[in-house]
Amino acid sequence: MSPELIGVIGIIVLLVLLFLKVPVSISLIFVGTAGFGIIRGFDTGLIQLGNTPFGTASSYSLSVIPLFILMGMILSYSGLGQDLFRMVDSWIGHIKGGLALTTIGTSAIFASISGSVNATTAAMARITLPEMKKYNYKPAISTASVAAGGTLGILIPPSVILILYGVMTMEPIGDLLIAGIIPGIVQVGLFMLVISLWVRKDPDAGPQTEKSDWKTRFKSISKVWPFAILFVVSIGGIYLGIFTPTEAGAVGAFGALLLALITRRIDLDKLKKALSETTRLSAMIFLILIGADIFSKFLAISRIPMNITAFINGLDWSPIIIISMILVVYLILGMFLETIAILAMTLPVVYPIITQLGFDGVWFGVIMIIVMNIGLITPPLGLSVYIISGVMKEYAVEKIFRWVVPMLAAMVFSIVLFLIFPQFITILPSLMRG
Amino acid sequence: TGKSSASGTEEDLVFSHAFPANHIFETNVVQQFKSETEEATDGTVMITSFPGNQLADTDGHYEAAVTGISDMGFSVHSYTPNQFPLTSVMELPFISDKAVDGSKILWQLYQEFPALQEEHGDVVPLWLSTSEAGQLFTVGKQVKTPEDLQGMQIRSPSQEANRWLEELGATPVSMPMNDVYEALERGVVDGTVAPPHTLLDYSLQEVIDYVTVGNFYMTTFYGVMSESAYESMNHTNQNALDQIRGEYMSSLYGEVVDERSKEAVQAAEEAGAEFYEISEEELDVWEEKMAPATESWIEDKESKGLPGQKVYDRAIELSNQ
Amino acid sequence: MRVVRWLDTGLNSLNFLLHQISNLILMLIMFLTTFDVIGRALFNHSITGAYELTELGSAIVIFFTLAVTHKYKEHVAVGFLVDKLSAKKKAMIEGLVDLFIFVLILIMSFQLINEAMRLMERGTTTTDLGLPIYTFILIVSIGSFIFAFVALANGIKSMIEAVKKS
Ligand code: NA
Ligand code: NA
Repeated sequence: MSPELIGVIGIIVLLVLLFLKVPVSISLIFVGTAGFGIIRGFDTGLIQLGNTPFGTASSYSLSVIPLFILMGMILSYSGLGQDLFRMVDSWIGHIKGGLALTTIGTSAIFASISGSVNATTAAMARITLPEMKKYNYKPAISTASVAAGGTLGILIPPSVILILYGVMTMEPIGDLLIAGIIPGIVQVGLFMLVISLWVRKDPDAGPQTEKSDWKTRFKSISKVWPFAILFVVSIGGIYLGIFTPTEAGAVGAFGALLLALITRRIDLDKLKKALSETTRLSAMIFLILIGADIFSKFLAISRIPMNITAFINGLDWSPIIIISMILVVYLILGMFLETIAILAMTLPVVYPIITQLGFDGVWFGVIMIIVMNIGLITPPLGLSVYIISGVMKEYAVEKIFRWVVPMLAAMVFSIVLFLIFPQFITILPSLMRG
Repeated sequence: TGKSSASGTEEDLVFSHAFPANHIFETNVVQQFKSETEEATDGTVMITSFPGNQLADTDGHYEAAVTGISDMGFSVHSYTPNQFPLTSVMELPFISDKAVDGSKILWQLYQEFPALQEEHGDVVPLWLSTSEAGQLFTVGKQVKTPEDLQGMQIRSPSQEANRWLEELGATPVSMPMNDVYEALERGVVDGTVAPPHTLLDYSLQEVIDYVTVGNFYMTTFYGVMSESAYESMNHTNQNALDQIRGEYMSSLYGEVVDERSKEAVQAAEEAGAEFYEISEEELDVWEEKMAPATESWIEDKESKGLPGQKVYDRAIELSNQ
Repeated sequence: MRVVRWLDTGLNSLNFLLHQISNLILMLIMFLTTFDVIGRALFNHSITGAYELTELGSAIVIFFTLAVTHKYKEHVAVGFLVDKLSAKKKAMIEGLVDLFIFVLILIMSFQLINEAMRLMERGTTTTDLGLPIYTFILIVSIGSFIFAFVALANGIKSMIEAVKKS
């Protein structure tokens, strides 16, 4: 059997295992080990199995992930999300659809300290959905806002996924993080536009609430300044060149802890919970990375990436057509699979193609993540929707999938926008580089 | 190993290494080695290169060749500290300056000292080579004397360099090469010691202001082949490969590095870096300061029952020839 | 049944212990890196080995949390097909998956030990502090073994459940 054929069989076995509910990480580890062993001799597969896990788990660049997660967790357990919502609400809550707009705004700010979609969505769902229900918002508009807002979690820095993309492709992590800022703001604008149009068409979807006075507004700001400080310290520190991403993660987490202690929002019990959740989430991510590493070595030795790259380079198609096709593939994969698993399986093949076609690696990282974010709110696997339904049990998953459709339109629109004008993504990193 | 074919004599060997696909080490060293070997064996031995750590981590290519993950591996000795204690003699200060000379010295040492052969005991070396001499690159502050180095944070590539940087009064900082650009640009470190050819790999010429030329150390590289892959070749092919591997490849490697180094120095000059060459007279001061590092290197090897003194003396002798 | 319960209790307390250690180490990494940054910025002095301690610490954090993560069923899996099956079939498949995980991770744990032995022979150490790397691989393999046995316990429980439901 040729290595290429073994590679193809390996990919099929991988998909079968995934759909049998074998954890993504385990499926990758198994297929990678067995496949490498079949091509290069059984003991070599086992040696990869013994060698890769420690190497991956002890990677310095990856150690930023638990630190950024910890920063978000500490703030989350400090109840800052709640205060943030109150603050945004006091400013824009009274206009039509105001609480939905508030949800988007709060998500964006929360995203600037949280590195994942799961964490952002879960926190926002818990805080905003009961509130919107109280003011008779229709569940369609409220769940759509939370689902869309939550996806900002990995677009606005920090972003676990963009960090992983950087580690896998060797693109500078600092550049990737900074590159997510403008697309994030553009999406915030688009989501808010969708909400405004929505309440214009159906005024009952988001009824008006009472207006806050100026005293309340400024008082609420005083409660959320830690967010501003941490964002400025960690992301600003990267942008201005005070420290590297891993250091930003540590300083950010340390700062979060310090602020939470000073403002007496955290006790030992909450800190323990924040730490426990952080390490568990990190272990989950790292085991997938270990699998990804083993699997990608198998893919490499199968020579499939080599052949596909050569094939695509031989095609005389225009780069824009090829990249559109690639993005469509990511859209489809995103509907079925978990984002980190997709990165693990595809980047060894896709990244060389992208760069050889002359596309900017940082730009591609950001746009592919926006594309895969669509998968988080579409069936059959729509992690964000599952989380929302988990928080508000009375909203069935199938219904939420239908409710979020208007936000999908905004996301697709933004992708076309960033495809035509890559500057939205590339301008900040190039400014940072001077 | 690899693809089987109808004739059964054809071999397709897997070559794994740490350098990116567009790096001169892939395009001018590995590809050169591949085409010469394929030609010398009349195409009965084929080599497929897997650059960019596709099959093993940066520090794992030697082990990959030993364990059969690949058939051949190529990377940097000092990525696995203490695994090649005597090879690290080339990392001591002032041994040589050009890569081609350093490589010849290292290959000669390998042939003369069984203890050095033992360090590469479970492989067949394709080349053992060195970089050109490493220099000191600084941002914001020019270094002309050891006093200038006092308290400066300098990125260090190895244990040996840690040692003499400390003797000079600098604070050595370890970090992966990938982070050095950002670290220099942002003042996380004040400088780095590195062979000039690596400037271009990481665009460091953009961020450095000063270069202090003192031939402080050399980085060493191995290209190795697994014993079993070598054994599985027939005698004609082994002989053909023996003509290429060893001294020839080590020198070729050195030439490629020296060429690249010239380009890098030119790029740094064009980017406005100011060069300062430590003169013969001044060198005494540096040598005196750095001597304890060399002494402790020798002591450490001798205490482990290795001929550290002899290897060091011979390296200096070869360098002076 | 009693064996399963015994296995479960023993594993739970081990799991708890490892997880606490891992939480603690994560805190230490946070402090270490922060003080390294502060030291460098204010006193022009960095902590020797901060970089490699972060690397080794991260490895322990991850490996010591693998098992507890599995216990909470937090290793992401694609469930939308299997979750549609009957409770009995679902328990059956999940049980088999857990046994599969047990075998694979058990093999991985032994391979980690082999890797540690290879590195011990080579004598490779870290750069700044000269710490022998193999000892850390042996330490993390503890987490890997516990992970395997948590999967075993889960698998047996699911299988018993599947049988009960018929
Ligand atoms: Na974020
Ligand atoms: Na989906």
